Amino acid sequence: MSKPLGVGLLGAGPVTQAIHLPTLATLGDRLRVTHVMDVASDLAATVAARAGARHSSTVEELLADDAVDVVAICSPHAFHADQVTAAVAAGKRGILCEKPLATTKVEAERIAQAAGEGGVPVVVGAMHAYDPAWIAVREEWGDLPERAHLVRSRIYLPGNDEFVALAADPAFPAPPPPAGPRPTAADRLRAGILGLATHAVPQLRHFLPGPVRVVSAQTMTPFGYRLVLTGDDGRTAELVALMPGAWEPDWTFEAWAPGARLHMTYPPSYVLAGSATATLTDVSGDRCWRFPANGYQVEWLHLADVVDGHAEPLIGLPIAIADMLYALEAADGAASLLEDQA
Amino acid sequence: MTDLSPPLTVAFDGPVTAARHISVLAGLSGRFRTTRSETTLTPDVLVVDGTIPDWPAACAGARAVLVDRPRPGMAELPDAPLFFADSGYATAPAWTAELPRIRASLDDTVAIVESTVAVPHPDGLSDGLFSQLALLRDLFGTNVPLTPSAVTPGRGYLLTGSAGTAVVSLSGTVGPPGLTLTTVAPADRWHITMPAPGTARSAVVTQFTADGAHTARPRFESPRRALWRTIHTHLTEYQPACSAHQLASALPDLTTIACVLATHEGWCGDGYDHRRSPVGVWTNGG
Ligand SMILES: NC(=O)c1ccc[n+]([C@@H]2O[C@H](COP(=O)([O-])OP(=O)(O)OC[C@H]3O[C@@H](n4cnc5c(N)ncnc54)[C@H](O)[C@@H]3O)[C@@H](O)[C@H]2O)c1
Repeated sequence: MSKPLGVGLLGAGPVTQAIHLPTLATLGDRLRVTHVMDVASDLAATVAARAGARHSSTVEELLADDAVDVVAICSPHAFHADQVTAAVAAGKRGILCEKPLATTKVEAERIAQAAGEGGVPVVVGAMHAYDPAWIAVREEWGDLPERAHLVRSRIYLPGNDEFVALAADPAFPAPPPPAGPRPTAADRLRAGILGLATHAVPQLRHFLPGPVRVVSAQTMTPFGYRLVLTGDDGRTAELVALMPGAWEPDWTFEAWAPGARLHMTYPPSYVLAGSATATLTDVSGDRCWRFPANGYQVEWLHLADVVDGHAEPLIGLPIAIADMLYALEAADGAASLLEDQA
Repeated sequence: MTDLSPPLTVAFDGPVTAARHISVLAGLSGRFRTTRSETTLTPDVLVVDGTIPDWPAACAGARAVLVDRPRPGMAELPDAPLFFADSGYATAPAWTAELPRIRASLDDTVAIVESTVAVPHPDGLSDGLFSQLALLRDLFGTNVPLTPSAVTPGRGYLLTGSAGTAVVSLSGTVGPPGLTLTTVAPADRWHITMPAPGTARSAVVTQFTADGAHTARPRFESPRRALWRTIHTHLTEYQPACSAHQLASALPDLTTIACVLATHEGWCGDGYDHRRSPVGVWTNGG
């Protein structure tokens, strides 16, 4: 077995502390945290000390560290594209970029060009696309994607804090109050789609590959959306989300075709609660898949395999970029529909 | 920032115990700091492998000792202020949260309490039974005497007993890990299913009555993480009475396990070496 790959994390916020550090601790034979960077240097120092790693407060310092083979980008959205291209330029061996990979088409093109030239594998943290139950059910669903006429993504969640506290001893300061003008409903909808609906896009694209049109868009309080998308062939998708709520989480993805139905229920993010449960129903009955590992563990193991030359990327960068552009188009379409309605 | 006292130090008696606990502790990194060395220093918590007969020799100096996979043969405990046992399923948060309601329903109409545990490897059968005995103690507040009805070497056991009006039936088998526990009275029935104790997937606790079924809210935290939180609380806050599954209260359980073992030597001694069990991505499932 080769030496574990050194992982450097850019950004030491909730996702680093509650998702990546506990996940990486389950994969210690393949990946080892060597460096934690955050612009808040106290935070970087605390989180790094807990992980037994070095710390810094600039991207340059982390990228100059030879003990970092793989870079995980866990900073706010706006920095993802620059940090991916910087990690490629620094000659790092692999990159895990939290979703969304980028926020504009121009940024996505820049990433594609840099990663292509550097030949560096980039995995986007779309954990549901790496969920082992999703991977397994795809092997068995036959022509369901061509036949499905209705797809639904339903995300009803309590607040993230609840699950962060079950996965980590959080060491982050409270987020600063939002600066600048109050976001409009369209801004909030766009953010909701890029932040949450984006998780469903890799699945959704198997059924409605695009182009799609947003035919209905609503926002909900405290934070939520309902979107209806249709494809040129009349196939329909409904995406709904609401959070936070006092009830148990419900994170579901469903697809219906005559005589067949796919039903995926995902455990909440953050906690290491294993895979989704995938149920495929057809004339022969129900078949179910569920595994001990979750999508975060599989995405990390997969990146290690790709970097070590044991596997080809499961979701290549062109697909990840297409997913991102699809989410972006849906977000823009929904936002302009909402503006028109106003 | 979360305001916690300085982290408690945790040491392991070897790589097997470290591998079983290190990923849980990574999610409690504000409360515990692990040292990988087989330390002779004085950690706050020492984790020892209960399958190694001379584990008590390693305990000197620790403020607390967590015995992982406790095994029969432990007649008395060495000197240390606090001993904990990893009793697997018994610290599942959904179970401990509903326990007062379940206990309150166990009146003199309860007819049967039955549980089945499945473990992936034969040498885990004693851990499975240890968990079941802890759950029974939670329910009845006392140790329930049990006798073996059927024991199949390397495959499992079926034990029978009684507690008040209730027939008690415990079975253990080799299979995909998980546990079920059911209590049945004419007026209500509880059914509890628990996933493997390493996962944060919640136990499902459902009460069935004449009005229908009520399922408790899930708790997405593994029993092992909840156990470590309890240990932290015990060591950092004054606790007049320890509610965790401390080893002292579980010693009679080990005698029960020893009884079964004595009559049926070999049902867990098939040469399987748990040190070879996989560590890594599958750890959280098992
Ligand atoms: N995959 C998932 O399940 C999931 C869940 C939630 C969030 N996310 C994504 O993960 C990313 C991080 O999320 P979070 O909730 O931790 O965000 P956050 O904004 O709360 O924290 C990010 C951290 O990055 C630091 N930071 C700010 N500017 C930086 C810079 N230029 N370089 C490095 N660090 C910088 C901040 O100080 C903060 O500590 C986001 O892109 C988010 O969309 C993914």
